[in-house]
Amino acid sequence: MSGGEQLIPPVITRAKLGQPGKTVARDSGESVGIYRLSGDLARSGLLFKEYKKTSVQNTRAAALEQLIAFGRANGAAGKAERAVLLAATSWPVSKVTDERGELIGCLIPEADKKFRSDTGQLREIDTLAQTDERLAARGISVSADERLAICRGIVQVAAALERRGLVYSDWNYANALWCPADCSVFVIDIDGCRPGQGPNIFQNDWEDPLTGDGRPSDTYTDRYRVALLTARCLTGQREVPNVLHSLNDAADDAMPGRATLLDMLWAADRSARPSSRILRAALDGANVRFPVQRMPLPARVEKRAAKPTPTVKQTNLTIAPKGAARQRAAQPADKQPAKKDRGPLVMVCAMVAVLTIVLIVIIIAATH
Amino acid sequence: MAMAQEPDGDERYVLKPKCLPTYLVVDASNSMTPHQRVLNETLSHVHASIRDHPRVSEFAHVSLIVFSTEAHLVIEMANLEDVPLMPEIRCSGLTNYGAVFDLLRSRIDIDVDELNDLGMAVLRPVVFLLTDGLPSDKDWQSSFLRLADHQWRRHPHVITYGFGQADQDVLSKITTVVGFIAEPGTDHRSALMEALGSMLSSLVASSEKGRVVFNKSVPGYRPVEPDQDLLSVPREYLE
Repeated sequence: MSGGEQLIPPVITRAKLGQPGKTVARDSGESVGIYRLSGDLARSGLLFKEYKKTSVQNTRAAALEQLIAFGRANGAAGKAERAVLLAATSWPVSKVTDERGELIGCLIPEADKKFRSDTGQLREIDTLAQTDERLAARGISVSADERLAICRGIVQVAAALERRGLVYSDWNYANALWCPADCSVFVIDIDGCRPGQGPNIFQNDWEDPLTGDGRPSDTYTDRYRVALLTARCLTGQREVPNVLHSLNDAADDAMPGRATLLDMLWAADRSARPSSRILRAALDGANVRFPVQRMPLPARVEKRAAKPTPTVKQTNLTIAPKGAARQRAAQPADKQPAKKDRGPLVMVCAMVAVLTIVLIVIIIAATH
Repeated sequence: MAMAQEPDGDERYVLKPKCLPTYLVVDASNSMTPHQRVLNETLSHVHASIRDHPRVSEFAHVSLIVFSTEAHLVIEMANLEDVPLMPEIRCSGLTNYGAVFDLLRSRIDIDVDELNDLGMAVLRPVVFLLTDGLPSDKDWQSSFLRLADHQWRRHPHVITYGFGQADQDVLSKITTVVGFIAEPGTDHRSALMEALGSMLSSLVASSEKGRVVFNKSVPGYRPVEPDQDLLSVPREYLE
């Protein structure tokens, strides 16, 4: 823990935080907002995460206190895991309460600026879990070794959590940040970790097929999700069937850990999923695989090729961007004329009528 | 069109990726001219934000339609990661709603078919419509009713944002989920940015849930309820 954080007690009231600083995130997941601190606390590098009201507040408060206590401990127990988790996650530093002592949020460290892109946006692992071609189209180049190094960092955090008996449940595209310069990672939303089991909040594309609806998430759910995140980052594939087939088709030496990942993702019995610690060793090339019966692989998701490049059409209301791959004039089917827009026609008819009348008047005048 | 669901039985693990066809419909009539620069800047920001989050762009495929006297399809339904740059919008003309509702009706059929052919599990389309004025045409309501017709299985969710001269009563007739009208005194620049920000946050939340998620409030706006007959979601969904 940094010097600044050590000056802040494990429990602090909202009033002591003073006016919130800049809003970093608003209405994000379980939080109303995340704010920088202001005044004397601004130098701490901490953020105030304000929770939405929830019916499980008591359970959450107790779990949060345990996390904070572990992060502040100095003993030998858990020293190795503590070092990993404090370095590579937004491990909570303090509980924030109202004046009655009710939990309203926590203080967490802000991610280092190396995890931000040139535009200032956080660099989510979402941007890594793509094929080399997709990355190249965005001017990003990541080698297989770099992908592996980043994945080792993710799994190291997962293994540390598992070793402490903590369930994270929130492995997804948005909750891990990465730095291309040194292949480091930073996992966020760690304050939601629970001992043993926790709420299994639905996440599109991250559902564990062997954890039924309504069941809480546990270590085995975490193993599935961290394996899925790792596999997506290593293979660049995102649809589950294609991830599985990419792992299956790869050679062991080309993709260390691929067999263990397949075991974690596709074991027929969820309790047989290898641990994150074993995955971590496998990513290092260790041959540590125990026999695991797997389910048959599903069919690949075959998609017909999309159009080569979506058409950005040139219309009389738009200027095509420079460098657009293809432009063409709007086709009749793509443009709907306004109905009853007969203004100009009416005007012409009126002019003709007036001229006709004038002509008649002239003719009549000429003949008299 | 049924909501996309995971198959049962032996096909349990054959998961089609879900896709939300999203139509961004922008009023580019003459009255929007003072806000043209902010409009283009904000649209570029929305485009960049979606592209920077592959999980959003692969879930919410976007089509851009601009309208004034006529309605124009500017960007065909696409993963915005495949659209390097947004075009610049130039505002001019009247505010004819009928043309854009008719265009939406035809495009939805085309786009949903194509997304199905691409192997997607296609959700009910959503339309985000941004307008700053009253419609210039007279027969727009019949066009909207054709678009929102519940007998047409692909009828979309329509969320509208109105500011400037937009009228609450009109908005209630062109929305099927919730509309938003800018509070009096809200400056148009803020109104525009908040509206497009709301759309973006809705798409991000939707991508996380795998279904469409609607914002129930937008800073600087007050909600407008749709006419009862137009609702495309159960009323309880909005509470």
